[in-house]
Amino acid sequence: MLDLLEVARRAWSGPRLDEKAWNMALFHKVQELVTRHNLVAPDPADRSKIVCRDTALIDAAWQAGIDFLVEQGVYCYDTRRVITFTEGEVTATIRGIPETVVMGTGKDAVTARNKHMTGDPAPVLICGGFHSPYREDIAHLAPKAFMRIPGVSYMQGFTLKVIDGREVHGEAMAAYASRKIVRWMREGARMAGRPGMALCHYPISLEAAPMIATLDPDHGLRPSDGAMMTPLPNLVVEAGLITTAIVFNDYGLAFAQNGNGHGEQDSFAGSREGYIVTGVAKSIAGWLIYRCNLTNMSPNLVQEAFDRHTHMIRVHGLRWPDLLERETQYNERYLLYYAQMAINCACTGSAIEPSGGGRLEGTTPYEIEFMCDCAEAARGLKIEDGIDLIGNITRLADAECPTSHPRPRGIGHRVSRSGWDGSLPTLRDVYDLVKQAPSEAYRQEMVKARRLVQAAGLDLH
Amino acid sequence: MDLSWHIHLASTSKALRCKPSSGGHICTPESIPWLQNVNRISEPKLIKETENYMVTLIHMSQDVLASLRNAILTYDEDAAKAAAEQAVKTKVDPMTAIRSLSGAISEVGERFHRQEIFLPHVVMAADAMQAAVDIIHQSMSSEEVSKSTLGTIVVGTVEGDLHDIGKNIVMMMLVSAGFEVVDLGRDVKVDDFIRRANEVKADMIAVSCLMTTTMPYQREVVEELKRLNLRDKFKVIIGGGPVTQGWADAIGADGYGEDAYAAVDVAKRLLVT
Repeated sequence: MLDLLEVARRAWSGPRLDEKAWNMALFHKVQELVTRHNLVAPDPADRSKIVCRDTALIDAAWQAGIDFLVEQGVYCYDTRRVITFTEGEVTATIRGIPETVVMGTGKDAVTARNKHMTGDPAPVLICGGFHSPYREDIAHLAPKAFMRIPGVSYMQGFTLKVIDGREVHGEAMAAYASRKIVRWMREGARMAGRPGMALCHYPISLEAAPMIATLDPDHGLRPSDGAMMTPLPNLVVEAGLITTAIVFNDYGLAFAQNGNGHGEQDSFAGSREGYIVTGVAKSIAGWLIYRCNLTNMSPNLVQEAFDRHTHMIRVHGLRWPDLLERETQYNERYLLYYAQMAINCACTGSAIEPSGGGRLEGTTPYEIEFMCDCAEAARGLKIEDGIDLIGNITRLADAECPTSHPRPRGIGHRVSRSGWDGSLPTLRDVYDLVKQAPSEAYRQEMVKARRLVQAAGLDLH
Repeated sequence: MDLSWHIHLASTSKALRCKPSSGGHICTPESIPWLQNVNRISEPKLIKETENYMVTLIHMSQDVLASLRNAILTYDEDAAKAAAEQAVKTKVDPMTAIRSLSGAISEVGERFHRQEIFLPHVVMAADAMQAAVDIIHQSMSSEEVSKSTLGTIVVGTVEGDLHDIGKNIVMMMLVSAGFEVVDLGRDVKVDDFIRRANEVKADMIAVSCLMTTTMPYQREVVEELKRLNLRDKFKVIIGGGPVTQGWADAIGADGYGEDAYAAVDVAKRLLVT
């Protein structure tokens, strides 16, 4: 298994390359690999191809991803150098991905593992939320409200724009804010009666100092916790996170989550087939360089490739056309989006991470409770049944909760969208964190959403 | 056909010289009818030769313009350079040549918008266009060069922020709309935005960020421009995932684009109208 210090050595001494040259080299290499391995991406709009099950194609995609790492490497943005690997190093390091990950301690610990797409009835690993900017005045209240929900397995952090009345700006403030956030999270877990619950630190800055500042066995991250450690698009990694990974690994941090194993984020991949190659390569690279053992990944074929070849725990589920897009959902559709996410992850063996998507105080405990209920009701569901169920929910949503906001069509480019635009209510508008109760209007929307999910066929109690 | 005599004639004869508005070059769309109706030449043989020459020249010009366009649509930088050199050599009107390139890059932008092609194709097309434009600019006066673009914009992602997908797409859309774009990349210091804007005599600074914790650097660009008494010299537009019109208003930016297409509209509104 390739040592992280060796990764660092290569990051600081590998071949130098201009970033644009890297991007275009990536494009050409990916196209070469697509041709070499005869990759043909399943049509994302074809419901019969949501799960490919073509093992020859899956293996070809897997090998193309490994070939990319061996022939092209990974680019370190800060040092402007390419980190190179041999095939033996890549395959040996992949074999080091653990079969299980214990997150948290004592009665609050959960054991996570790759559940594959087989209708495994084990409980779904559920992250309680956050991943959004929070305002300071409620940031200390929010963790408890999420962590008291029984279905929540672990909790991800949030970001702050202001701390102690001062704008979080620069490395020093980011380090202080990072410590404070994790302290609030730890305290929230204690107040929720789940002191051993695992925390997943969400970076407020990608410099090493603010990341490492969170380590504190008493009030901060313990070895049983984790952190979000995300490679940038186009197989680019950062020196700050390489440094962080070395320290975290030495500290014994239980897990790291790669939030960007998504090939579609790789703007220089150049084709839908290219997204598959970079999706595989980037999800492997997350483990090779940052030791990420949980990964948000796509396209679907990438997830199948990881299931066949690794123990990697997948997050977020598969994608297909019937899934509601949160960003454009208004009224009850917003809640139905969470129901679909829960069913999707339950039937595809994925963990759930209901991130706020950049919206200010995006997710409330009310959605998380609903999502936990749906995940519990859907666990053990075969994937074919899950697909039908999700299709039913979308049809009911279109019939009973029409929206004037069109859904974006086509899986191709991810044009930057503005999420924090006030188009949806923030947490404080619809949920009282002190009383831990939704507004009456939101409660009524939930009544309707639950009715629709049951009408769609989920046995929701 | 040896055109040297005709080219000599065209460049020296008052009768065949184009309208002053075309900058003295031949074969602009406007000048072609004028040239075809030349009536100051009385000698029949010369008229016939001139007509033949004009037809050849028009065909050559059209071929060059088609080559320029084709080079962009096939993302071929070498072909774009060759076509641009040919355009200069055959004295195709530079503005016509640039319009041809702009039309082609707009088509590339549309194809990207329709998700028929991907970002590297747009990057290659933009590189090809830039290479061709650089060659064509050499045959133009500085005044003509400045008239040939909608304005110059320096674009970058702020310090501490390494997210640049959105910024790259905005950049490509601005290029395809006819702006001269100077890409500063990502993790760009406030001073570097301003220094480069001064160096390239930019009209606008476009500042992107994706993280809430790097948003303050957008404000710093505006504040630093004020401190240096340069605020009126450059328009400032901002964008990125957490950015809103409210933030743009709060920090005193001139504009905000919710997405790449909105950014182009804002840039046009601020610089063109």
